Amino acid sequence: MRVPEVLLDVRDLRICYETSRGCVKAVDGVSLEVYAGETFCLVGETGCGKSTLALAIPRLLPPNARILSGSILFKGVDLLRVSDSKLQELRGKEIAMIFQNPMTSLNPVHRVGFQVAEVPVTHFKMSWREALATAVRQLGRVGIADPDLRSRDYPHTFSGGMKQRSMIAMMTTCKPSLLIADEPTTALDVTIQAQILKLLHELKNEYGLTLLLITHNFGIVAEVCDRVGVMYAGKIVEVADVTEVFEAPLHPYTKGLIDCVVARRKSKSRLNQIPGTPPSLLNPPTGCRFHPRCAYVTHECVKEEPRLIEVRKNHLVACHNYEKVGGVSWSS
Amino acid sequence: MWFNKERIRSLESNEVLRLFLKHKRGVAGLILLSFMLFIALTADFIAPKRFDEVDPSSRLLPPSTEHIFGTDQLGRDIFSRIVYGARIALWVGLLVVVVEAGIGVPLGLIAGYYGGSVDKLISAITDMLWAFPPIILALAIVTILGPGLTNVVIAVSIVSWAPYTRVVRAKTLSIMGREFITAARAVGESSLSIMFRYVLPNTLAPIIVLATLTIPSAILYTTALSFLGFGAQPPTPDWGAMLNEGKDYIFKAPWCSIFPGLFITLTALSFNLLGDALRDVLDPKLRLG
Repeated sequence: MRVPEVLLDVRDLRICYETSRGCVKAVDGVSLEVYAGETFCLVGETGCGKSTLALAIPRLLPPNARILSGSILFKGVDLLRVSDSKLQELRGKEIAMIFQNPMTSLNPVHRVGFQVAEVPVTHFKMSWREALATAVRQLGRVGIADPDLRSRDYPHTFSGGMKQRSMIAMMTTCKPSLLIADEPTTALDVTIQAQILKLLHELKNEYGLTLLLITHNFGIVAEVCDRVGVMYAGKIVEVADVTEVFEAPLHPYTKGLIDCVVARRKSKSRLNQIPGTPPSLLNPPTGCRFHPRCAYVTHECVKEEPRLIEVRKNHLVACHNYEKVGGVSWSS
Repeated sequence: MWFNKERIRSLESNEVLRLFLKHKRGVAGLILLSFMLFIALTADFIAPKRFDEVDPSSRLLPPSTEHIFGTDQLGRDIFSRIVYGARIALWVGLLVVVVEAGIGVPLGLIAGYYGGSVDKLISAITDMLWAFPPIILALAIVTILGPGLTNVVIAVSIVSWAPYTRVVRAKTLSIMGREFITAARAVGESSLSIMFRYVLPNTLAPIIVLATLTIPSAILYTTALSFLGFGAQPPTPDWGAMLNEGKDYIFKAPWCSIFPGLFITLTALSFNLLGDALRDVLDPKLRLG
């Protein structure tokens, strides 16, 4: 088997948000590798730092965020140290990003086709006429009916699903290598969700792009992902192939998340839940951050923070007691 | 093909137009303004005399069929002077607003876009300017520059661009938080392009309203400076200067100052009515700050 090429290599990334109450460590020592051509899912609860991590890659963090340490290597270039003008060139052309809320992601004062066309004009110095034709073609490709006509409409005449399709069209016209999708389907209703995921998957295969999908939905993970990274309280706790994660999760948190999925519960039994709430990132717990909520907690967990280690081939986990976790059901 | 007629007559502009036509005071303002524009544009045809035509035999005549607004101390026809004066008043008002917006809007965009110390500096300058009584500062500037209509325009613009910076900065701040700005950055748009292609078009509604509302104050300031003798020099038929000349005969020949004063008031009023209407019409739709 050939060694997969690492497209994105995040190393020991630490990001905090400066607030009036102190420094919120949203991403705390995250390292992960995304291989070229794969779909990598980043899963975790709301507020675990997955969106912060996603925004940090094209350096789109809000102004109160501070990157404390680490590096983000994209094709060998450190995105955190590259100049602004070089980064501007990469954004949209090499790295593109789709956002959670399609309703506000398009500029309300410009026509949709114009907005899509602007990307190749910026990056390929394409003529407007040519770019508009490209935009119409791309809008058709992402499933906008009657693209020639609709490209001349303003965003407010589009539905949520159509806006997200337009965003995808806008972000993929330049055929980037890496497409980051930050919860692209959260704001859409279920039937549209499936269509959008299918579209992303098709485009991925068609353009050979690498997809970094941020989600909190395990259904999506099972559907489209090759590998999964699970985040908890600003840290990656487990990274594995998608089948491994579902069949033999090694971190108690991953196991808990999977047990929460409604479709997996046995009939009539109560829905499983992980007790407690995620910790405050302002003042996270000592040792393993999951220990206050963990069923496998030992003295070691309270004192010492587990490192992310490769315990099986391509399966990394950060837990002192991973051996006990494998096999035993959460609820028992 | 891109901007075909059918698309331009979109639902949105029809909606604004429909709301505006329902706004009675706004329509009144528009009619009044159209009248002022009409007399300014057709001054050469509707003025019975030249504005500087002196007639010593008919000095300070009251309004009559021959001189409907009467004549001034040099026997010039006041109606003709007012008609030509409308050109100056409207032109000056427009010019001041353009210069003000030209200074204020980019500064507001820069302050709102970059934030931080740039914002603090620009806001400090804006607030300082805001603290000055405008007419006093304008007087000081015009004293340095010397009298003349151009200098009055410069002085008035310098003292009153601050509202533009404030409004545009506030609106920019609210737009910067919207996701489409992040999306624009994500596709590699430059700062300049984001400022002028993404933020500026979204701030246009409040700018239009502000412009219509500052034209009357611009006209009032310039006529005030002219009244004080700093503006247009004789024989230019500036309304402010006419007021000034007329004040010496206020009891003997009140028409010399009443008619210029009336036209100043009506012009300012027409812009105010129009501006208020535009604000009402554009406000609920575009959530003007």
